[in-house]
Amino acid sequence: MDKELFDSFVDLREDDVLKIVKEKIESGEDAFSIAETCKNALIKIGDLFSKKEYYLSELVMSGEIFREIMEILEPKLVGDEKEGNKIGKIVIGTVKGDIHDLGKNIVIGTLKGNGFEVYDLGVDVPPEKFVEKVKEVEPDILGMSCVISIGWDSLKETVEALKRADLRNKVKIILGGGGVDEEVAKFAGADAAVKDAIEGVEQCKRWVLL
Amino acid sequence: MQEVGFIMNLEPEELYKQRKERIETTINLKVPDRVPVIFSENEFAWGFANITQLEFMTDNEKMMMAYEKLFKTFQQDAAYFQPSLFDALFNVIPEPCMIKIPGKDLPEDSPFQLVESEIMTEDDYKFASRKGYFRTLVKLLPKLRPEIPDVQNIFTEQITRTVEDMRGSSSNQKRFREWGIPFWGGGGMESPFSLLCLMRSYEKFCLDMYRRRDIVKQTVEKFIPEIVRMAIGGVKASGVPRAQIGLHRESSSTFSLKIFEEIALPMIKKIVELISKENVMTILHCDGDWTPNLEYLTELPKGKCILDLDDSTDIFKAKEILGDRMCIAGNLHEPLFAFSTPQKVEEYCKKLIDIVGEGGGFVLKGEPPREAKLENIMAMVNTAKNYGVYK
Repeated sequence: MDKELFDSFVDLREDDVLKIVKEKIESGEDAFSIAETCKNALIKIGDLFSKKEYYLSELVMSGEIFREIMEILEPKLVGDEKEGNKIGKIVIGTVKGDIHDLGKNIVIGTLKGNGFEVYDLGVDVPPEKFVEKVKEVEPDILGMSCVISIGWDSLKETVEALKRADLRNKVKIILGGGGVDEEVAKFAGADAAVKDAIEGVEQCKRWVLL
Repeated sequence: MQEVGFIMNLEPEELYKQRKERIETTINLKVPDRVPVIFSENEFAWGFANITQLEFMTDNEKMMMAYEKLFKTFQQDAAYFQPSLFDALFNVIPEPCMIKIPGKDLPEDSPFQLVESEIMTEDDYKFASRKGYFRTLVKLLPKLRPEIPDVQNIFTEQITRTVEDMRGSSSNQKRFREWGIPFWGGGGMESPFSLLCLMRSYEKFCLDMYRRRDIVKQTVEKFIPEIVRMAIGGVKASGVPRAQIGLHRESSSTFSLKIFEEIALPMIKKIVELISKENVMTILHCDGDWTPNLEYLTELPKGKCILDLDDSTDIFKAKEILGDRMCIAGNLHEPLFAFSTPQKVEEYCKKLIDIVGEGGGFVLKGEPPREAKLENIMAMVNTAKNYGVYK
């Protein structure tokens, strides 16, 4: 693993990181191993977030740097390398009645960086659309975002719809967004409610890896 | 229940004076007769009065009927919001975003919702940092309200009339006084940092912190005097010497402490300084988790601010760090009102009164959503009235 690349990514020195990646590609280094170093840096950034040394603003910046790196690396990756090793599948969306997508987009970036295959249904998603997608792609996890209280009933309705379609026991359900907590999860019949992107990803990892 | 019966015998004007004094004593860090209790009304009031959100936002009589029912039922100590109708055009001033409106883009009983997108581009910083907030807003209006033709002219022509209307809403304020209800805040505005974040969108604003932090800082500084003038304008119109500054994006939930230290903290200090010069107190409306930011706020002058917290911040820690410097208001959160029981609400309120209320300087405050249970709101109000009495 290249320490200089790893450190400049963890320090979020965007220009340095991109310069190093370009130089490495030009000198013929293996794109897959560069990508692996960058993924390790992302994991370290997640660690720093959990320790409250980094904050959401740093997560967003690291997501942007990673996106720029992958733009450079992708043409050089071959076959399976493009996909990377996927650790799990998640369907995600903001519930019916709520059109906020900010938190959801940040979580999606973090999930992808951690090896999840993510199906994003967007905002204001009705229960039947969640059910349809869960049936189609058979994910490990369904993630629902809800920022305002008007979405609480929609959370419950979606869980009920999954039960009716005999799919509830086939997925774990996680809630995020400013408008949820454990009480809301209990009301809706979900498995967990988390308060930030990293807590969400850690919960998802525990479900698929353990 | 003893005090509720006692209050019934008072004339509204006496009640008004008693409540006003209770609040003023508390925010000046002295010990009042009991802990004051308030809650944000607008999410709950319309459903409670059996009208739609749209009616509450656009029909003055229905809005006032809903407020009257609410205040006569709960008899809390102040109105959190000034009573004014919603105007989709002028709402860009505090919330410079595209908007989805109930009855038009959303069902009539939905709250209006902001659509956060990159309204201001990175190239607009130069203009914004030189010309200030208002002119930037006017420049961006065609993007903010694309559905209104000739929006810039309409906006500038109508802005004077709207300011007059705002003063005209004093007839609404008079009715609050007739019910014995003073106001918590006089004027208000969102902070320059939060406004800029909304115009750029959160994610772009995060990237700006790494790619162009200097001009972000300059723009925030440029916006400060205008924002203070707007807040003070509201204070003068209402006659209530408290200006609420919305700090929605400054906390550790959204930005690092380094960014807070470099941009948000100097801004907050400057705002408080300018508002204090007008003999007005600043209500710092703090969204998100301010726990790691609390220590910084010891740099603010004593007795000039009120810390208005939601449940993300550790309010007990806030008392420990800031209790001798500023009044603290908080922090019953939305799900508690909807899913909990009166016993649990009472238990939590008692804990707040015992710890945060010790020695005064505490206002019991909640944010009931439209799904709140009446008995849970009542439990909060009654706990302040019965248990919150200082001996």
